[in-house]
Parts: sequence; structure tokens; C-alpha cells
Amino acid sequence: MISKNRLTSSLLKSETKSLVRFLTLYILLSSVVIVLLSIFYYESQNRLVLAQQRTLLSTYAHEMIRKLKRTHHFFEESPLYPRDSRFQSAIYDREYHKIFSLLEVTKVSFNEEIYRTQGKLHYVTVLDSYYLGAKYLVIEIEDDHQWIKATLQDIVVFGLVALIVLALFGLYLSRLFLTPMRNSILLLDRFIKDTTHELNTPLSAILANIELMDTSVMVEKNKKKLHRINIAAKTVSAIYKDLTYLTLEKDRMTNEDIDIDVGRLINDRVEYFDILAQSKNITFELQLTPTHFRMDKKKATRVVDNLLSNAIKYNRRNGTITIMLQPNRLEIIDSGIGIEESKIPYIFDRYLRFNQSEGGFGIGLSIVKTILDEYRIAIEVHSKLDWGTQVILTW
Amino acid sequence: MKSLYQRHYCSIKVWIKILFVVMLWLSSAKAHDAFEKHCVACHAKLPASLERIFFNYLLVYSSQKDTKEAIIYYLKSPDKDISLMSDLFLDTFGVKKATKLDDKTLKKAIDIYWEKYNVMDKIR
Ligand code: HEC
Repeated sequence: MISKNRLTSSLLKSETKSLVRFLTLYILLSSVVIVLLSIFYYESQNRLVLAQQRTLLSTYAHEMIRKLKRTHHFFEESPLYPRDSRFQSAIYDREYHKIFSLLEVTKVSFNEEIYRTQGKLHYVTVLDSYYLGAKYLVIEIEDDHQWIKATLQDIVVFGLVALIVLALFGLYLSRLFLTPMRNSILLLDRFIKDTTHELNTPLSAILANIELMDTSVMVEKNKKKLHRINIAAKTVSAIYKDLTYLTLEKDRMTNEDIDIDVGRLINDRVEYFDILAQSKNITFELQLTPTHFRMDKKKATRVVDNLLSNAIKYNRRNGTITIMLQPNRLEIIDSGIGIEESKIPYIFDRYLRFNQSEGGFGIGLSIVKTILDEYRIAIEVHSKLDWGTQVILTW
Repeated sequence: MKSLYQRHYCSIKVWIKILFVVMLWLSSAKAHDAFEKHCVACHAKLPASLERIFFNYLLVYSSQKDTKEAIIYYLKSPDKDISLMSDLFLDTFGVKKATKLDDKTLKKAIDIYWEKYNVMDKIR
């Protein structure tokens, strides 16, 4: 039950990432659409209000033209510009020179019929007969801001509602799309976990039985074969432990930190891997100063095991592995094939092996790195091709 | 002690100055006169005032430049077809003869005509 929960929650992590990405993109796009619609709505509302005002303004203009006509004909008697309390107006001649103006906003745009400017509404008419020489009559009224407020309110309210609805829909959609992926990941995870679990019993049986075998009664030829079986079993066992660590142990919440005698741990593990090292005729050189460190035993073992098995795996025949332990420093130097300097930064990446055809370090070093990070232990890797690799841990 | 010559010289200078001022006054008076002299006298005999005619031109040509150009054009080559006067008026008084004034004087007369009647300066 517990492990199942852990599985789903770890799944959710990778899921959340793609979910967030999808949703951001989706909401961004929806926002753009909503903004465009808002602009469109605002414009159409604007045009509607202008159309309503135009009717009124053209009535004013007609009245003005009639009055201008009268002024034109009786100019000698009274050269008075016709005024109206409901609006302001101005007349311009054919070349846009002002003849007379009562406008508050004097800047006039003659190529628009109706427009807003500085809180006023301007309406421009062209006269058929140029009374008083006027070709253009401009009527100015106060611009009514009420509609803008109402429109903006509409836009904000409807925009927000639309965004929320779209976001909910997006969430639903993405869940729908992610379900198959989620299922297959779940299946894969469960499969790996079950398989790993299933490996435990036979592997233990093999290792225990090899130990129990009485080599004294064996023929030399069989002894050699048993030796090889032992090596193979231990290699599988190391991989098995990494796998269990990844699928079962890694997310165990609590560390069981105990005081570890690092020197002894190293000695133990060297002994365990000795048979592997012997197969390549590798010799260990140990310089171990007694050192203690508080750490989870299983995790410490994972670190040492992985570093040792790498040092053996990538060593040459008849090579050496030097291990130096000081109170705050552990150094493991092998005389192996080395790593290209450019690749060193990537050796801790999980599944590097799967990305690059030349092969790499698999999950082992990625496990090492996570554990070291957890205990704030620094790791340094120096390497030269065909010379070897030096791994230094400091704390 | 001033010589006789010097005194004469001084008075000549004064006379030249006076002459110059008089000439200037005459020429400007002549310019002011161009319209009165060449247009008003004859038009006074007609029933349509020059002001009415001016407003008729405004009604069609609107701007200062166009109005002036149109009047000058008509005065140089009057034609029944482009006249702004009514047919009745033209039948009664006939189409006027082309002006014999030189361009400069004509222009001066029209400028004064515009100054005298334009709306911009008078409308309140
Ligand atoms: C000899 C008399 C005479 C003089 C001088 C004269 N006019 Fe006229 N004018 C007339 C008559 C007659 C008409 C009406 C017939 C016509 O329009 O052709 C007229 C018509 C006009 C018109 C109306 C044109 C139209 O569209 O029909 C204008 C404008 C005008 N005169 C301006 C002037 C100006 C400016 C001057 C001075 C430079 C001037 N006139 C000098 C006789 C005169």
C-alpha cells in the first residue's frame, strides 16, 4: 500500500512538469485570444457609440449650415458668427485655413468624419456651398466617458470568467491526455520494482550457496569455474543493490544515521570485491587513517561499492587501485582507461549510457552523487585517458 | 567757420530726404488707390455691389488664393459661361471687357479688394 502511494507521488513529479508546461502554453494562447476579442469588442462598442453620436452631430451640423447661410447673406448688416450652447463649432476654408473657431480643442483632423480627441468629440462636415468661404464645418461636443467604463468593466468580468473556464477545461484536457502516459509509466515502474523484488531470492540463494560450497573436494578446473560464477553473481548483486536502492530505498524518508568506521567499511567492501579485482589481477593499495563519519550505513555502502566497482570495471589488467583515507578526505585512484576530460561533467547524469552509444557509467554514479549531495560531501574527479582516474571526496 | 558750400550741401541733403518721403507717400497712396481708381468708379454704376460679388466668389472658391485667382482670371478673360453673375444681370449689363490693367496693378487691386471684404477679419 505504502509503496504504491510513493510510486504515484513520484510519478506526479514528472507529470506536474509537463502539466505545467502545457497549461502555461494553453493559458498564454487563450489569453491572447481573449485580449484580441476584447480589443474587437471595445472597437465595435466604440463604433456603436460613435454611430449614435453621429446622428446627433449631423443634426447640429445641418442647423449650423442654415445659420451660416443666413450670416453669409446678411454679412454687411451683422457679421456675427452663429453660436449654440449645445456645442462648439468652427469653419475652415478649402485650404484648411481657419475662418472662425470656437473650439476648445483646436487641433482638427480633416480626413476623418468623426473622432475623439482630448475628451472631445469632433464631427467634420463638408459644405456644398461655401458660405462665408467655409468648406469645412467642425462640430465639437463633450465626449461621454460613461460607455468606456461600462465596456472595460464588461471586458474584465467576462475576460476573467472566460479565462477561468478555459483554464479548467485545459486542466481537464491535459489530464485526459496524460492518463495513457501515466498508465504506461506506472506499469513500467511497477514492472521494474516487481522484477527487482523477484531477483532477491534467487540471487541470495546463489551467493549463499557459493559461500557454502566446499572447495577442498573440488577439482582445480571446477574451482576456477566456481570462481567465475562467484564473480558474475557479485556483479549481478551490485547491480541489484543499485536497482533496489533506486526503486525502494531512495525515497525512504528517514536515514538511519549511525557512526561509521569508514576504514573498516572500506576494508569490508574491498574484501567483498577482491574476487572481482583478482579476476583482472588488480592489486589494492590501502592507506587508511582511522576515521569516523555519521551516515546511513546502506547509503555509505552504496557510495563505496559504486566507486570501487567502477575502479575495477574501468581498470586495465594488472592495474592498481590506491585508496587513501584521511580524517576529512577519501581518495580512490585507479590505473585504468580514464575518461575524456570533456565528459567528466556528465558522468553523474543518470542513464548516460543510454544516451551515448560509447557507453558510460549508468545509474551507479548518479546514485553516488545524490547520496553525497544529501550528506554535503564534495566529489572531485580528475582523469587522463590511458592513465587513470582519481576520485576525491572531501567533507 | 562753415563754408558756403557746406551750408548748401546740407540743404540739398534735406531736400533730397523730403523728396524721397513724398515719393514714397505718393507711391503708397497710388497702391491704395488701385482698387478705388480702377474698379469702384465703374462698379458704382451697377446695382450689384462689389461686396455682394465678393461673397458670390467666396461661396464658390472658398479660400483666399482660389478666390483671388478666379477674379483675376475672369477680369482678364471675361466670359458669360464662367461668370458668377445672374443671366438677367448679364443680359442687362452685358459681359464686361477684358481689363487693360497690367498684372501688377491688377494684383494690387485684387489684394485690396480681398482686404476690404474678407470674412476672417470681420466676423465676430
Ligand atoms: C468699365 C467698368 C468696369 C470696371 C473698370 C471694372 N468692372 Fe468689374 N464689372 C463690370 C461689369 C459691367 C460687370 C458685370 C458683367 C460681368 O460680370 O462680366 C463686372 C463684373 C465684375 C465681377 C464679377 C465677375 C463675374 O463673375 O461675372 C467682378 C469680380 C468684378 N467685376 C471685379 C472688378 C474689379 C476687381 C475691378 C477693378 C480691377 C473691376 N471689376 C473693374 C464693369 C467694370
